[in-house]
Amino acid sequence: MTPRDSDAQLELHLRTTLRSLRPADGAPGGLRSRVDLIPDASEPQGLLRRFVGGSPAALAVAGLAGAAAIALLIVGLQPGLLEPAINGAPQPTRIPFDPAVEGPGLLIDAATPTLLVVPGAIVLIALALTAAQLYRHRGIRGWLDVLRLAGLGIVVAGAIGLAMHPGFEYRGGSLAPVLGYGVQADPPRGGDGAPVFYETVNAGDPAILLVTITNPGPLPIRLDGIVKDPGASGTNLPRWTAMTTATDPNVIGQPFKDLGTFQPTTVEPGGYLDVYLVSKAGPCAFGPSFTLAKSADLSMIIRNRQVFFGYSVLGLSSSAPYELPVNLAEPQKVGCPA
Amino acid sequence: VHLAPDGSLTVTEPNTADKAQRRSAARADAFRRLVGAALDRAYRRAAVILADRFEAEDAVHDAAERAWRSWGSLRDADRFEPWFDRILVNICRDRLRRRRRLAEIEVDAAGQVVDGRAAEHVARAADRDALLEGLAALSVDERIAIALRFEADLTIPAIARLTGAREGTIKSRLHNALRKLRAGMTFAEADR
Repeated sequence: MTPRDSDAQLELHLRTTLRSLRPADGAPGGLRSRVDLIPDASEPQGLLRRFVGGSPAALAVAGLAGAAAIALLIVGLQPGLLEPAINGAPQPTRIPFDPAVEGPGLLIDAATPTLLVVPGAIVLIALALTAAQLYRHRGIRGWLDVLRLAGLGIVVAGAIGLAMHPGFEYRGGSLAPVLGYGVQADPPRGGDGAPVFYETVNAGDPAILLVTITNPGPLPIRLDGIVKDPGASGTNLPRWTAMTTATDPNVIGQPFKDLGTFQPTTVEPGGYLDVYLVSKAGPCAFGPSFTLAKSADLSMIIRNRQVFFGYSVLGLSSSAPYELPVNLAEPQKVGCPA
Repeated sequence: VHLAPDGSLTVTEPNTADKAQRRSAARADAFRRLVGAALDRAYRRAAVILADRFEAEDAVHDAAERAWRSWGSLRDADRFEPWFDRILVNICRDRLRRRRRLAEIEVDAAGQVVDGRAAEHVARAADRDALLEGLAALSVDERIAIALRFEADLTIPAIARLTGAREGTIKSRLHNALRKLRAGMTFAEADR
């Protein structure tokens, strides 16, 4: 017998054997009845249910994730949150800026970092869904599984990208000088190379620093304010008491009468904003008679160059450090206070 | 639409709940009609793949249930048969794999059969000829490929579409399965 004959014989045997397994009659009546009852017992699943499979737990998690995503979009896309507020003329209803008034633009505590919490939760939910799918299907089977995992991957990447938003940075360059009001500037001299601005206002009076911040990230950021210095109250130290923003981006150092009280302001990606930071001099401030020549008669408080700005991205808040381009120093009377 | 004795015609628009109910009933009718027409063929196919008529009944029922749950994903009723066949083949594959895992569990370390149903399977297998034993020894995917090729007379592209595998993979599965079966047959003949 040739191999070809052997193959033909095997195929013949195979067909005969397999046909012997085939029931001569059709589907039993019992099976028909059971199948007929299926539509009465349940409804077809919707798209979401089909996506997450039959697991009620996975469905619940997916439902929560969906609700969270919708809430995120509703909050993030509210009109006003993403509207740039620095363009155009000052708003007529705006209260004029008064540096002596404490509070506007000052955040009592560091902003709740929902910008970290919410994307973190989204990542966890996505990972849970991925794990559930891999467990249920024992691996990746079919293009639909690949599509699901790709979708979850995009969600995770987006959430991580959102959480990694860098906040504000110093714009730098000759177009963004640092100005001070109630301060005396000293050119850079060694150290970190940054100029020193000495406060020359009376104790309890405001000195103002104007710096330019920029949004280096890919999404609009809303500036919510400056975070209050921890532990500065009730001490001899100067402290941040308020801030406001420029109303005309084309004017460097606007007169205070043209400024309004602080309102949260959105900075577009790559955009910039002039901010006026108000520092209240401590009770031992040397005052306007300070000159660099008098440095022997006084002590000096050098403020931390790092300030924290509170900001929101897509309605999610956080705070991040911003390094001032200058050192702000407060000359103090020697031996003050008791 | 209501025709009054005076000849006036009143048309009442069905409300939303009525419409939803009608849609649901129409959907169920369509499902029953299409599955009903495919049931005999599906049952026979499952019986051949699983080599067990009782399990074939359960498999077809499971496939019908899954088809109903996913009813919304069937866009064209003309595509029902291949769509349903694919679900059925997947169910059969899962059942064969589960059966194989159960068989591994039910035989203890000494090779003693510890479950009555498994003992029955083994006894029945012992009575079958070499070909049936060979079929039982094939991998799940090879067994499905053989059943679809030599019982249902499907072409290789059709089997590939039904199982979601590439044509080359199907050819390879058929080749390997035939080689194993041929070896088993030769062995059985040599025994005689």
